[in-house]
Amino acid sequence: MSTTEDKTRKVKLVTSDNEEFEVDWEVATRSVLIKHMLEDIGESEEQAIPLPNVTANVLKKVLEWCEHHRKDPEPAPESSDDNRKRTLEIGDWDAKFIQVDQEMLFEIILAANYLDIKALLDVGCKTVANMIKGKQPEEIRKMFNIVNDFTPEEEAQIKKENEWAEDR
Amino acid sequence: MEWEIGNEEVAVVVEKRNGDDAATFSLSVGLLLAFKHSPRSPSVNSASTSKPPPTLKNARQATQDPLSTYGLSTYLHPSKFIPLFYMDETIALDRREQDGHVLHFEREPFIYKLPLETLFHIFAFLLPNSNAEAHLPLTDEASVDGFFKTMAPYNISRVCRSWRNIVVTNGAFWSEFTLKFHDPSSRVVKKAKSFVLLHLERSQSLPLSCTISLTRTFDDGASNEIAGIMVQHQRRWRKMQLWFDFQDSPCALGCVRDERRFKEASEQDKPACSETLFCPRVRRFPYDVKPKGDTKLWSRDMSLLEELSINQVSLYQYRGDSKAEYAGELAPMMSVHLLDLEMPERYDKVALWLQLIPNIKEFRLAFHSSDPRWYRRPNDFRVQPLHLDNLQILTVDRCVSREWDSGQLASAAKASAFVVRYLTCPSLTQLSVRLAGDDAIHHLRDFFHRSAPSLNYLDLHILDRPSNGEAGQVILLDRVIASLQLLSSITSLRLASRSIDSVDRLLEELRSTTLLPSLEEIEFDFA
Repeated sequence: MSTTEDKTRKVKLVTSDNEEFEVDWEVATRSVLIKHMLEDIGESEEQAIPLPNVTANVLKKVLEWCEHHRKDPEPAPESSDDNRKRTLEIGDWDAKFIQVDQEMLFEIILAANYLDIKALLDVGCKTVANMIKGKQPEEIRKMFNIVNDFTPEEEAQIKKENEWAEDR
Repeated sequence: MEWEIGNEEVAVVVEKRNGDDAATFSLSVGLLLAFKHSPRSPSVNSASTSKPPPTLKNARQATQDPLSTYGLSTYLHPSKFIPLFYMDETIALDRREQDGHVLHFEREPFIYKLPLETLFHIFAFLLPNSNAEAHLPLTDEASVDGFFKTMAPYNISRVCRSWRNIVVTNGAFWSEFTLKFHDPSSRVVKKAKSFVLLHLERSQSLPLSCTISLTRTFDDGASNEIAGIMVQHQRRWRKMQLWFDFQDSPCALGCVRDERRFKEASEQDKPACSETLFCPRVRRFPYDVKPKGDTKLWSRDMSLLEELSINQVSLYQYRGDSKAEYAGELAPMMSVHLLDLEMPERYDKVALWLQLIPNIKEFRLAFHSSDPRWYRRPNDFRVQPLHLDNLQILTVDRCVSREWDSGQLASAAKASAFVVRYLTCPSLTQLSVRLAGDDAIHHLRDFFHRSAPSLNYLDLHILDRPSNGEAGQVILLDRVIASLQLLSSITSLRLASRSIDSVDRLLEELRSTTLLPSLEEIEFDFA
């Protein structure tokens, strides 16, 4: 539970390329990882949190998202089963935010995963899922530069497995 | 957005997939600049000095490069990082596809950086959620073909080895599926069967959440076959929606055409396939004639089942394998909390289903009258009153594949009559019923009296006038008001009727604070 004092507190974050960011506690703690680290170091305001897996340009983007969502309610604990509704819809602001090139998109996803920001991870994953949705395998390969590494034998096997779907 | 581009040579590695040798092509900046004139390409200004030099970093920080969608924004020559940008994407793709050439990148695709669990997460978003996501049924052959090629997990499983391994070896990607076809050809039904079989096999022994909807099929044998396949896996059912509809094909059900009536109908320009032309002859069919295929419902172990939605209830016999079950002692389904049935107008059958599901929380019921398998005279019904302690939401509706017409309204009135006559539902919070005027007079208040529910929402549609004329109307309004007096917790009320000419008294009562004191929303629809 955060206190009023927490909300006015500033937090220093240091990226892998040694850039320092000073942000509000409320913004930084959208990341569960940072929140736990802050709990570990206690009241020490001067101590910077090292983020060795995130570069400055990615953290800048992530913090932009955290700033916009600073007032969002805490995400509910994930249920053990798959009952939660899956939807590929993304809010307007998030959709605009995530309009970045592929490298940045995947860097954001990796950072959200590392920093444990579930809502941002969902936005990134939904974006990739939307890129895949409704596309044929060859289109997906082109989209992500994936090499078709099936051997001719495997291709033949897959074709055979899917004969029923290809049949005209 | 403007970028300087130096006079450097840029290399693109192109691999000819169908050949043995890979060739390397060099594209000069001059060639690339030629692309800049496409309408969608931002200008490339080699003379500008006010912009930063072309580094990979600032290029990637720029607004989204249209080419990046196709992974073409950065081509890497060994030891060189030179961005090639704003080449028209169409031209780029056309070039790439020329002669079957596919670009090969020396750098690992960005998507390969993702850890396995994140890829899982992405793939999971692609799976159809049979309950949350509305899918329109596919109708034409091209859409059906596209469906099988572009639907997850099929498309994912054919991208590359690693993705295939993830998808094929994890049953969870196959244990949820949605299949909706309207008016399918026999070829499509055959594909649907293969689709179902593959999912059942690859989902291993995991619980199943499925929607299968084959509507307006003229081949009830195919529907039966698919239903039969699913029923063989009923121990794995968790959320199951099975919709088969061959309503326009009573002949397929084994009916015999009544030639005299058929001729009369033809002369009067009535629909040739109306059920009324067939049903008079179906009495010769035995009660609960066994349909084609093995479609016995309720094996002993269905402890996973939570939600069940079936429209052709008469396709299934709820009989298990043991002698006791054959004798009618069926084990209740304790885990089921949602039941959605569309079925012939048989009170005894509805009651049997509800007895088997004691923990039901949500119930949707729609009647239809076209299935001769269950034909029986109304007086033959023997129904015991039922007490449903946990039922919270009860909706009497039309059949999904049909429109509201006089037939569906009459069926809904019969289903609603079952509710108010035989059920007691103390936990009810939402109720939507369509009652005949006489049933509203005789049973509505009693239903609320014996249930004493803390109802929040009531949608009451009174369909026809009471049988005893104007006096009946007064009594009807009295009974409606008396019923509402028992429902002080209602916050939202919808009342529709063409049977009540004047609602002044009701409005007057509503102005007082005693009737429906918690009311927040009201909607009246009177003739």
